[in-house]
Amino acid sequence: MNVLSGLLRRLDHRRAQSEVDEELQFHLDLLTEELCRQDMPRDEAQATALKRFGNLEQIRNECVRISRRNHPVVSALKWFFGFVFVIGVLVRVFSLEFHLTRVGDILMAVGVLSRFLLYLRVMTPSRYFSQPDDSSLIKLNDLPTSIAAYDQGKRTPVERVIS
Amino acid sequence: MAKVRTDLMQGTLELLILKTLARDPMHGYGIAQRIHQAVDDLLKVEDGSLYPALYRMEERGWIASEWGISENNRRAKFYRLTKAGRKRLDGERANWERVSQAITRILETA
Repeated sequence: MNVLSGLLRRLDHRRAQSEVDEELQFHLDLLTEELCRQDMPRDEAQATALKRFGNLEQIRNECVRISRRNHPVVSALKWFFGFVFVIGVLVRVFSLEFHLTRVGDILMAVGVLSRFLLYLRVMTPSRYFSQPDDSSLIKLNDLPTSIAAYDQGKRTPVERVIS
Repeated sequence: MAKVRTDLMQGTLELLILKTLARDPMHGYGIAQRIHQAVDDLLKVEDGSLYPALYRMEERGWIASEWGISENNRRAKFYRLTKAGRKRLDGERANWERVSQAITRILETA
């Protein structure tokens, strides 16, 4: 059980989010530096970088969603639960004794249910397993570009999204 | 004056990414820069659109990624082409040439 909870902890969506944020932040910073090298004032460079990047919030969410789906632990668990289901089907088909068919039914049910729970965990983590943490998300694209770039606390757009 | 369309056709971005990574492993920013340099202003490629494409391509096994240190000593995620990706690139390139030849022929004759 500890092993399973350890695996599920690794699926924590915050981990996927922080990696995506770090990657996108890296991109925005390099783009800003590049624009500054072209003699653009820093404020303008930051705003231009953000504008050129596109819809930051939407891109970030899409990347996090794919990243979680693509996690090696998720793939391994999907494979394992599929295997459990197939074993259940085989037991059900080839067993001659009544109690063994029940075992087959249970294995099939466990396989299907586990995959369903995994799906909920991976695809909709905040809704079913965690407290929503998107309340502080700033709708960057609703803001004027100059405001959306960097705020008074010198936080970058991604930092603001995380906080 | 007619407005010039610069948006990318579906699937073209993946082909550009595969081709870019065929030379060296690169981080997302490097890929974006290389594509911008190559297409100049002929095509509009929004930097951010690269990332969902990269993640999807990794999911399909065409590229692989690992964290490393960039040229400016920052942690960055580097992408490289896999064997499946190289195969995909060959297939996509052949497909692109076939489609583009066909369309050109139609435009010239119609």
